Amino acid sequence: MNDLEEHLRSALDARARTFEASPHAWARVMERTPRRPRARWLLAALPAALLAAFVPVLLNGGLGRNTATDPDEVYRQLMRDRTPAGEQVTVDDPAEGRPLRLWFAKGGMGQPELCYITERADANPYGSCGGMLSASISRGGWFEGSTAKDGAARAMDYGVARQDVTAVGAVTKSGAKIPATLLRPEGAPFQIWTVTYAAQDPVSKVVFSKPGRADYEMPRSALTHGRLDADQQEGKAVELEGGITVAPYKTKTGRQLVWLRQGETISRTSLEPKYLFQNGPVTYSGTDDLFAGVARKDVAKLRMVVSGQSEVTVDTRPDPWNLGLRLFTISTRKSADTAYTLVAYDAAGKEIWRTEGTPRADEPNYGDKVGGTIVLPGTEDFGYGPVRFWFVRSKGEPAGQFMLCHSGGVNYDGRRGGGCGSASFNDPNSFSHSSVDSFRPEPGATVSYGTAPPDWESVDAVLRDGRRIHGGFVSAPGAPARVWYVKYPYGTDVAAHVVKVKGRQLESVYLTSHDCWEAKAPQGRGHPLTRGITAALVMDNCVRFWKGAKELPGAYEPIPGGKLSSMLAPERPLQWGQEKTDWYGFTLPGTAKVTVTLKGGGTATAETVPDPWGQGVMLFSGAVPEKAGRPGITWPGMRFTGYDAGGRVVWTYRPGPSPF
Amino acid sequence: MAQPSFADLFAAQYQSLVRLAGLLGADDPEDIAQEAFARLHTRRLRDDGAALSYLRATVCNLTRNRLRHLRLVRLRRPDPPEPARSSEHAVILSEEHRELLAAVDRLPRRQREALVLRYWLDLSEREIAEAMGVSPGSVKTHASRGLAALGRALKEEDA
Repeated sequence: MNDLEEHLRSALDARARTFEASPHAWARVMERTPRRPRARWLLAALPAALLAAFVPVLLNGGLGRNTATDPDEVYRQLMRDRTPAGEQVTVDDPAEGRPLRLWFAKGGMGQPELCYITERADANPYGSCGGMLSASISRGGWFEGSTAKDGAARAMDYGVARQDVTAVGAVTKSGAKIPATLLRPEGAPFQIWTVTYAAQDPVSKVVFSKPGRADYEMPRSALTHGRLDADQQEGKAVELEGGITVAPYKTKTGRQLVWLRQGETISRTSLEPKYLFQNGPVTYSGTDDLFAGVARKDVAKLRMVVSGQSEVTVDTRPDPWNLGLRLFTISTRKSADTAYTLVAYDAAGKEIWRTEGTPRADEPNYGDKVGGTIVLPGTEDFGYGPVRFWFVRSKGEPAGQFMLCHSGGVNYDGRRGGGCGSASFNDPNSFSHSSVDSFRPEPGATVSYGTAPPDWESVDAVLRDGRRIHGGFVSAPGAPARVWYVKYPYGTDVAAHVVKVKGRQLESVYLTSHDCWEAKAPQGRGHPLTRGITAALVMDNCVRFWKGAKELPGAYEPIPGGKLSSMLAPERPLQWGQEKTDWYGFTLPGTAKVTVTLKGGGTATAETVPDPWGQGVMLFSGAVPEKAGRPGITWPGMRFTGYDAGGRVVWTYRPGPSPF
Repeated sequence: MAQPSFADLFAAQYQSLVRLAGLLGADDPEDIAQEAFARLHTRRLRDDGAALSYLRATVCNLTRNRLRHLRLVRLRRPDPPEPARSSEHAVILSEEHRELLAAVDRLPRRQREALVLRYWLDLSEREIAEAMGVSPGSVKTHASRGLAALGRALKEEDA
């Protein structure tokens, strides 16, 4: 291996270590797999009888005899293990021409859920409740469902928005913009948005707006768990019991049956020979308590026995697309950790196949534990609390690399929280950060946490209004690092985490969102600098630079409540950016001129002007030294010098390995 | 010996696949790696070797599609703002490797894939070919052209 190859190997390895794995990754993967929907299933007003020993026939109308036709009965079933959180709202479903009821509830672990009951013109009502994805809560809102169905000229998509969202709009496939209706049920923790559209021009994304913040866009593929609109439907959708529809699609990876309910993809069944019937005459997948799939032509009935709980038998029915298959769905009230047996029978009632289903896999074993377990104080009353941390030596990584694991807390769907993620504590530029929620006791709490290098003295969470919540550190004997944490009420809008590092004047700031990067050039409000560059203060206290209408790289945003001057100190006297032949930035007050000198020679000077916004800094722009070449002024060994109006040196700065 | 479970495979390979997606230029490497595992879960491949090959190939494919999508978006819109780090970070993060990594970023997609799979994952030509969906001979070509391009780029920087 020559020098270049050695260098390449080393460089790739260094860069690779900057990409970290989240401790929630396993849960996120499970959410994407067919057996883990974001909603907890309850098929159309499941009667108590279905939970008993034997219930015949879900399809072919058999279930109709057992299904409540009264939406109020559906409501009672759904709310048996829940408490309401706010009033119900009723909206018109344009696809069905019947009402759609929506309301918030608290699930078994106190987690917020949105529930719905949809009434139909020619079938029984059905409903469901599902938890809120924490990741979306902090950003604005998300999709919940859709009433779109084959043959309907109009449809309605709906979802949830944070209370501070002031407008929601939809963008359709053709680019048309449709404002959504925002509903604020009395006493509810969130808003509900609805948007009605023509079926031939479906919604492609929704946009959430908050005052003074960048818009947040969510693609509709979030609802379909993939780009269903990129797939080609090859047959008319068939509606099965409980609002489930299934249709064949041509996709990039072959033909599939896609199973939907209330607009959400709940399962996909590949029709490719290499995947179909590989383990017997039945191919199925599904959620913890709803299974859907296809069977060979000779399978007439399927029976699912859930260990110690219930037994369900369903008839299969022929597919209407001449695929030579039989379709089925099976609903149980099985939990994720319950084993089951699935048995197939022919038309004569003879058993022809059976399989044992194992409980859902627990969190993977990421490696051997290193050091003791840390019990996080103040989390004893958390759901599945207290929160515990420990380190493991990572299985899949070179020796010496660790993962930080946690247990305790509650996931958005009410399940026990836990997982392992990358544990980075040697890279001064990385910020290890994850979080754990609990919804009880009310109003619930969130703990942000991560690994902490030894020279960190404090960690704070900074709110949008500039207030700070102080955190702390915990450790265990033998553990390779400390763990930092900050606890705050659930739903708190944390704008940044700030870290005080020993021996440093400036705090390290890790913003949780980067709205300023999306800022648009303010018309006529920029402050002119040299070389046609303008600077403008956007989003209250963030400065960006433009050349004409083109935005220049870099967004300089102090923590909320701070000024640009808080980003500078003698140890770091300027912030700068570069685009082609221009450089620009801001520096300490009292600096009249800034020069940059490159390692191999070449220098350039920029004059400064006071910022016009009272931010306590001097703005500058200038030409990049001609000798800078392609690397520009982000090159090791360069030196910046600040001069006062009398030409005296007031500071010098050589970028180096500092943790900023 | 029993085949490793899906969970075992996840524990052993997830972080590595996040990093592979990142090195190939994905803007959200975790999204790519999670999607690859979700697809594997659906496929239910039984053989561990086949599963790992499938995961690598899926990460390469998804990243390729994602980059293509981003390029199309950029064609329709003005250049996006630089997302990540200040110039300061560019200096600090990769002081030693910055020049070389910048040249890697400029490589054609296939050459970049071949070099990352060979020099970071230490895969054989056959394994690289499986991940990239090309022939082993083609891997050799992409890798040698990529290395040559890097060599030229470094000389230009020094000039």
